[in-house]
Amino acid sequence: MHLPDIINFTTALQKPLSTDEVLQTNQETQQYGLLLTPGDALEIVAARNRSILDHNRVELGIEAIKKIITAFGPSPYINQADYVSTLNELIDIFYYMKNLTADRIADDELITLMQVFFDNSCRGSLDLLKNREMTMMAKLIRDAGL
Amino acid sequence: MAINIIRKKSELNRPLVQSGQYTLALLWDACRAGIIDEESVNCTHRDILNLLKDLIMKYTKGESSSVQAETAQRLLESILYAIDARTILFADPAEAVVIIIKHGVNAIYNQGFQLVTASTESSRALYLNLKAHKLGVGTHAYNLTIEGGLAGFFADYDPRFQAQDTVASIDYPLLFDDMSITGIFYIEQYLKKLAMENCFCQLFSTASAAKLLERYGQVYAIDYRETLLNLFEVLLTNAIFAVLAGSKPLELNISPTQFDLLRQRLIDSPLEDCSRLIKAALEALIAAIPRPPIGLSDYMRNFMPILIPGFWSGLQNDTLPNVMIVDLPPIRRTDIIFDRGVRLDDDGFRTLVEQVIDTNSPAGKAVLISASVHSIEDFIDLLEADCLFDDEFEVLYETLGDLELSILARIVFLEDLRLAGTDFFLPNTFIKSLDIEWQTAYIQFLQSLNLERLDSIQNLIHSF
Repeated sequence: MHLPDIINFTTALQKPLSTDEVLQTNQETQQYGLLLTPGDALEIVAARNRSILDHNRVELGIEAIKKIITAFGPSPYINQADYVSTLNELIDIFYYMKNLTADRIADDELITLMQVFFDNSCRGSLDLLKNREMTMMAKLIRDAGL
Repeated sequence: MAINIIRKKSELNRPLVQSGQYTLALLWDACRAGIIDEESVNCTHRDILNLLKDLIMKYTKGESSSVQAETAQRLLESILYAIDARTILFADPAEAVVIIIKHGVNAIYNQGFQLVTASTESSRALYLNLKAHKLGVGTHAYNLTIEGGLAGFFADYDPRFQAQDTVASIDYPLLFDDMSITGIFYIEQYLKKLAMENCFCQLFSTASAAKLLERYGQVYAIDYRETLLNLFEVLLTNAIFAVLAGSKPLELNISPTQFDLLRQRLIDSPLEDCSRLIKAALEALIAAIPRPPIGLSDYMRNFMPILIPGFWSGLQNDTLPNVMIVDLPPIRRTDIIFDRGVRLDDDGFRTLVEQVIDTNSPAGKAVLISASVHSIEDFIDLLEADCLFDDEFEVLYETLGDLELSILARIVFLEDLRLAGTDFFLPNTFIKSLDIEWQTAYIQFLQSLNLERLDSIQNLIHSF
């Protein structure tokens, strides 16, 4: 059994389960006026699968997506209109950063840092988050040999 | 896991697949044979993926739910290796399938992991014992394998996350290695066999083994320490023929008189008689070994299909002194001392390769190399560094003297020298076909030399 088998297998068998898990995050984010439809959940899971493949990573489960949704729910820079596209971007930045830091930073720590930068120095700019703050942070981590 | 459909049992053969694929192939074979249904196979796959998910979490210490694809592949292979370790032990493959379906693949994985862990511990103990009782006559490959390669392996090996890994610099060749095995089970069989070989070699004094090996080196015009020689094979061969020549068992020495008598005795004998006598000598030798380790006797007997044809060929072609080593006075050597020279450090070597690549003319490259390289190792590394092409080799060889060319010959024709010994004749090598570019160019260059120079190089080859 090789990696493509894993990807295909998980994609085929776990998608219904994954979208249900994504939809469950509505219970927490509705207090911020953020809700996902089943179609949105499908789109997010598909975007996550693309990111995983693009960044040549493997994840069995969608813990990272759920943590990102929960962490960014209270952000003043996310609104319902661009909720799905912002989440898709954040998920891609997350996996991009995992590779850029050579997995030296834990999921929770990375998501917290992304959220702090996004809400403060980046003022909601995904471009600044990815290309300035996160890139600089990855360099610091690599230089420090952490 | 619920027991899925097991409709019928039928004969199931062991799948002939590489390690890590056995159980998966077995499940599909069982599915095709109607023993289990496809859902059972999918269910087992799902369980394996859950094992992978757990292992990823353990690997990242719970800090990351994803890993790079290469890491995931490695972890998956580690799981499958452990599963196979248990599954392969079932004498009846169908029974393995039934147990997997009935008890779930997790149970099989846990049992397999215990086998891997036990093998790791037993291999480590074997290794430490071997290290403490190294042979005093070890070759460089022998010493490096024990002190470097295996030490590095045990420092890095992790039975949970990389059970399938055999990443170790193991250069020392066994008489009978099994390269079809991977992971810790390969290391374990290697160490068990090396321990047996060591045990046999230690039956002889270091002085007598060293004397034999030095003499072996003289016969084949090599420094035995520098070669990938199996010490056990050399000692075993002489120990067998020493018995046949009339010595007591556990002697290595064969005197010229013994050799002549033995040769006269066997020269007109049919192969069957020779074979019977050699086997009887082996059995006498085995009987003389005090407390032989389990498996050593059979290991020695397995050598017969190699030794007997070699002996027979030597007898027919009058090259028996290349098969058994006779205790002759040392061959007089010409007083040439080879200075290996000072090696460049890694940065210096890289810089030189870049400079050679950047130099356009073949003559310029040759001058640069002559001025910068002062050791044979660097010279060979440079020849293999893809920085010389086509006629550039020839131009470089033209700058070398006969002595340097003879050193290259000893590298290129190592095996020919080993086989032909003092009968090695340089022009015989001109028909050789080699895959390595600098060696092919070297043979072509030799062909362009006159007989006088070839004669000079040949004399130098035999002189040190």
